[in-house]
Amino acid sequence: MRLARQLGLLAVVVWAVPAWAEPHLAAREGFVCSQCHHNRTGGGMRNSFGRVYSQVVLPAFKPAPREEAAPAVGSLFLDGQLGEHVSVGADFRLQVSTAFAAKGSFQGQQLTARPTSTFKIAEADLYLSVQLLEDRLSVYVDEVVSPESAASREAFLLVEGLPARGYLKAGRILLPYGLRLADDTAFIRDVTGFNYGNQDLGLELGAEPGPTFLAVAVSNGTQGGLDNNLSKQLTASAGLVGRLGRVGASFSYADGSTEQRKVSRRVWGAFATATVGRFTILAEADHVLDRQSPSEEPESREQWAFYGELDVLIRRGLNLRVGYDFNDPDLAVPEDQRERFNFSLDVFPLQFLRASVTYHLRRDIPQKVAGNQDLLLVQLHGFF
Amino acid sequence: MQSSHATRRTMLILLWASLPLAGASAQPAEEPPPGPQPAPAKPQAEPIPPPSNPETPVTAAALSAPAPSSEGRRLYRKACAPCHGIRGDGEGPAARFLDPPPRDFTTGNYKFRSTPSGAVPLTEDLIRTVSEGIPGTFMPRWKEHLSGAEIAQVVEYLRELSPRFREEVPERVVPPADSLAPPESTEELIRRGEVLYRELQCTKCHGDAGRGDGPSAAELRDDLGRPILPTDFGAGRFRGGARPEDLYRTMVSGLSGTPMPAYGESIAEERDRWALAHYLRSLRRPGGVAGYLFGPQTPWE
Ligand code: HEC
Ligand code: HEC
Repeated sequence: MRLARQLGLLAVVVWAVPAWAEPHLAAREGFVCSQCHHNRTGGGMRNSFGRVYSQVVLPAFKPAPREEAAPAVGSLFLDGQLGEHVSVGADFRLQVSTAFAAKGSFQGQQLTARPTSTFKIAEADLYLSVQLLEDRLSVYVDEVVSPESAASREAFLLVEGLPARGYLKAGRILLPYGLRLADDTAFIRDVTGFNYGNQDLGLELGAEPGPTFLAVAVSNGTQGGLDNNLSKQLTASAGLVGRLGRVGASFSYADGSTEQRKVSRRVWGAFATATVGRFTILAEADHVLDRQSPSEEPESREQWAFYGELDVLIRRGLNLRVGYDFNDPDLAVPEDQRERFNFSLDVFPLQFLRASVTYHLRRDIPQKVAGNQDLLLVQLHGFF
Repeated sequence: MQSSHATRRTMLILLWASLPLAGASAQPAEEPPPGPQPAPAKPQAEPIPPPSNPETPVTAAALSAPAPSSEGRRLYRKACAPCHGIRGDGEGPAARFLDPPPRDFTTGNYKFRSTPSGAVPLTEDLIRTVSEGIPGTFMPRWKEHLSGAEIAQVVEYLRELSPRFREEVPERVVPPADSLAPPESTEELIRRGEVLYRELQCTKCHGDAGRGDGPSAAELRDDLGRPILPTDFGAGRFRGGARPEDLYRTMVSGLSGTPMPAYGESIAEERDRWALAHYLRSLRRPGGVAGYLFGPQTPWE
């Protein structure tokens, strides 16, 4: 039972659709997520500034200056705006992932994981936002159109213009928790359940007074599989942003108890970023407490996850990242920790295009042989 | 998870929604009718020759022609409004995290001009700033993204955002860059520049070695009341442009809205202006590895 659960978890780790936001960019510039994303807590469609930023600041190569006499039509500059009220955007990622061979053992038996290599559409998303009242009311849909997993990732009504840059989202949302990393397979995103593969129905109220941000969401709790239509999941995140970095904390509680069984999950964590010159650091630590009773297994399970990354902007459009992931999936079990060292080179050669190469060096207990397979991911990403 | 049926439906809605609106965007945007042209409030001194860029008042023919700025307005909304605001008041959605903040175009106050301190700039000044961008700030170098014709259109629209462009005829105090002939930099010229730099007390703000750390540096505020630092010449990055012609213009006309004065009158000699320009350029310190690694990052350079 327990092994099955762990294997299930592992499957999630390996197969979760990884997706997407770039908190290191926000950290580098001293921005909140909403500076570049339409979705106030980050990820998904870029807003008008995000589009300017991605065309003007990100690309490594500056397009050749245009002819002085060029006709005034067909400007290269793309704002995703269809008329006054509708804006669209997209992300498309094709990924080749190679898993290297690994050896392990279980109860004296030798286990081997064979190398594999596969192409996959890691993301194909279309975004649509319809402004109903300028800067006040809009509808936003983030639609996953990749063939295997067609679904709407997010779909909500967004009310903006509340005091202190306040907003309200109502609908299917990604819950506001921690750093919205691009990589869903990072343990902090995977074991906490706050990732792009997991969204929930509910309300989110947020504000950005001065240099601070906060968001509180009340949702069904389906996100952690704990929905019982009785109680709700509460998720909250708050922090302070400055030119040199940010600090913040997140919390979530979900209760899925029924008359026969008590089930709950509590997650809390802290995150911070710092930036100096070409260097940007991101870190987050999370504690997850799951309780269930009655249960054949221990009634509670506690785990820790940690993530740290260092980004170096080598030159415009070229970013080197070194990261470290750690997870102790059960504090009561000794020596079951797993870790991952990540090396990644990211290039934005031109507007709308990015290519990246990532190597994940993975270490897990010997019986989870797949968790010891190193991964090489090569990704081509088109976006606007 | 939703069924693929639902997805198809969403796609249809997407298509359906986009078609009529895409069409709508192609129609010319509504323009406020251009008001009557008031006579120049206070006709000012003759422009310094050559008036290659006369600020022509709008003629009757121009009034009856389709508003030239409707294309400019469209471009403005696309490319400029995120920072400068849809109304041009500098209050774009992105403005609050940008330092320095984007310009408020409704006041007609501009930093980079060939005109006296506080006066509106010439069209050529706007075209130059928009084309070259403002290094070290978030203001992009638009010539990499827009054609010359598009830049001209968007500048036309900027001029409509402040009534001052209709009311004032700016005097040119700096000749066009291409009519200037900067002398070659020499040791002697640089030494002369250094003497002037101290005599004119540029040191007060920019500091003894030009590092932006003069005794008054900490107290300086711009016209919006925000703290502003004098330029550190060691970085070799100049918002108004780094060519000797650009520094010449910055010194002669000053930077309106900031404590940086106009020195056109105190540096009357042409040669002295070039001496200072070359001196400031000579202050550039090679950043070295530490500068590369830890120096300030500029958004788009
Ligand atoms: C990413 C943000 C951003 C965008 C987009 C942007 N600007 Fe700016 N712009 C700025 C900032 C910041 C400043 C102020 C810099 C300073 O004060 O030194 C500025 C200043 C200016 C100035 C003032 C120069 C002066 O002499 O005072 C002009 C003109 C200008 N922008 C035109 C434009 C035009 C035209 C567009 C669109 C084609 C545009 N900007 C788009 C950020 C932006
Ligand atoms: C009262 C203080 C003050 C004095 C005196 C002063 N400056 Fe400045 N100067 C400034 C400030 C402030 C700025 C930065 C403006 C900005 O950020 O846009 C500046 C900017 C400049 C720039 C750079 C503009 C750019 O393109 O980035 C030059 C060149 C310059 N000053 C030259 C001089 C010279 C030469 C003198 C003496 C003749 C002088 N300044 C005296 C305050 C001063």
